[in-house]
Amino acid sequence: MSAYYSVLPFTDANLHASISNPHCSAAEFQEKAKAKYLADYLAAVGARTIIIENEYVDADYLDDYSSFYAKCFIPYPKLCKRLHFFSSDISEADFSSRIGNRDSKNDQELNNAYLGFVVARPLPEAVIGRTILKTYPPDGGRRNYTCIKRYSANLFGIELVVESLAFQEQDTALAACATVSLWSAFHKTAEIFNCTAPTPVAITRAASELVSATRPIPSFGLEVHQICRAIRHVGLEPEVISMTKQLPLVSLLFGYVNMGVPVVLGCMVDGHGFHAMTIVGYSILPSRVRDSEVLQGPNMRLEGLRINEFYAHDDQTGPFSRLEIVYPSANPVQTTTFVPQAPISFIGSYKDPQQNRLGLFPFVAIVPIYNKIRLRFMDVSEWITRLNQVVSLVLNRTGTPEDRMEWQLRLVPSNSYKTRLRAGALPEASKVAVLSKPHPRFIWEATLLLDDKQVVQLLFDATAMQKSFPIYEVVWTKHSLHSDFAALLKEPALKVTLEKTLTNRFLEMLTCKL
Amino acid sequence: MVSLQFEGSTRRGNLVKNLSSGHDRDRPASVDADTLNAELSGKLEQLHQDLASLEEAKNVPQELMNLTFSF
Repeated sequence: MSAYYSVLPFTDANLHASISNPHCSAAEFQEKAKAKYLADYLAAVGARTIIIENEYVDADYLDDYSSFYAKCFIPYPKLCKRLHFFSSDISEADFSSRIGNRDSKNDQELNNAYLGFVVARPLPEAVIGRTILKTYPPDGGRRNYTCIKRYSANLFGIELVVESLAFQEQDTALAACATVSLWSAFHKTAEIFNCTAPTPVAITRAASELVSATRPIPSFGLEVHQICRAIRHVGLEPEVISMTKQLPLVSLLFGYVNMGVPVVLGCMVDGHGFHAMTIVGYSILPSRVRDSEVLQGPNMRLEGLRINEFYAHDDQTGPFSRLEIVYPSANPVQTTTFVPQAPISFIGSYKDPQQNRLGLFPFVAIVPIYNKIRLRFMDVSEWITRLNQVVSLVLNRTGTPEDRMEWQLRLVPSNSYKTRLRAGALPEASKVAVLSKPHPRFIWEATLLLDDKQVVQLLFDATAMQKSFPIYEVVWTKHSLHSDFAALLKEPALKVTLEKTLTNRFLEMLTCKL
Repeated sequence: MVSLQFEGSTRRGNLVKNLSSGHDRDRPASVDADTLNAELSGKLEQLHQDLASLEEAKNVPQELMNLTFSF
């Protein structure tokens, strides 16, 4: 038996005991809602064995430790424990022999069974430190965890790999919910935009650098402008979206999250207060779950109508926690002076003392975005709204029910678009025409589908200015409605009205590509 | 499903332009271009309202910037 590691079968009791420390007993830990969530999560992904590294130096905790805990009177330890989870039964003798005998087949077996790890911090409250856990299975493509990346963990020389996004709970000393929400988001943005991923204490400091109404440390939370400041600190721009009745929030979140850009969502948890979490994935169904996603303004029949829930890193709950979408939004019990009017609300895992599930009411969405992505979801929506007038007319006149159409609106790197286009079903000549021309690095891809078949695709230069004409490519497909669009858009008697509807540039681009 | 056919207005000599591409259609719908024009024009006001509404959705109220997320 080694003093440096332990191997235990996965049970709730073993999990609680392994995470506990002298400042937080197993009994104290198991009382927390997060402990139950974590145990249930691990059981659901198939955990059977826990291997514990008894002395683990965690870089994030070390930064927190040197900034705060080392200066406390109580001697908090510098070292953490790291708990690794596996979906196979492993004995201590078996693991010991695997350490000493490098065998690629054995290492691969361990990797196949690897479910990730949890760093257990030696603190009284926020014991769940950096947590990298495998996601739930995709369930036939319904569940999509797009904001994950590849993490590797070296366990005594054995290289283990897991696809996930880092999670940790707030300690309210150096990081409140907004800080850890940003910390998770930066782990992914560092990969896609090549920016930095600072530690929680560095985020709190950066956020509070210029203006702070209260003392930054201990941290009691971040204001929206402080969240923005922290995002700028890593070299990104904060795109702040306030909630209005006409905001298609589900499709907007999807538009960014689908590319892997996590969105920080600020909500009011009914009866508790304002809470930030990070949206990291979504569940999409084959058919619509609602007829509209706005309470006012154009209903564009976007892809979001098929999304029934989002997945969030919520430090009050756990990683990849489920947010069911409620449309139209329920009414909050708690009243505030400033009440935004989001068309949707969420149901998460929060419950009142009577075990009734509490609503989460979105107040703000903040997207940490690359500074050259200047075109926003709502800017692109305006052009779609214009074209939708023509689409409606064609559908109406051809007796085609509008509910057979769907707009897909996604931010994508042009390289991934090109790879997809090349493998797609477009005629070769059309592919060559689109693929061989220069594209900006990031694009908004807007696709109109009728019965799941592409009618037209518009490519927007995401690096363009809002007031410019950002559409740089139109790809028409030889769909059954193609001739109808051609007839309408090319009809001389309609030219003036079409120009008023679409603008003359947009009309010209649509017709010249027909 | 029916296809669009444009029937020119009287001043253009009632010329029926069948713009169907010949795919499987049950019957063509004869549409007067002037009617269509009127229909599209009638939607312009709604379009302007929708665009204004989307523009309004981009505004960020100052109260929001000062909200603290701490729970």
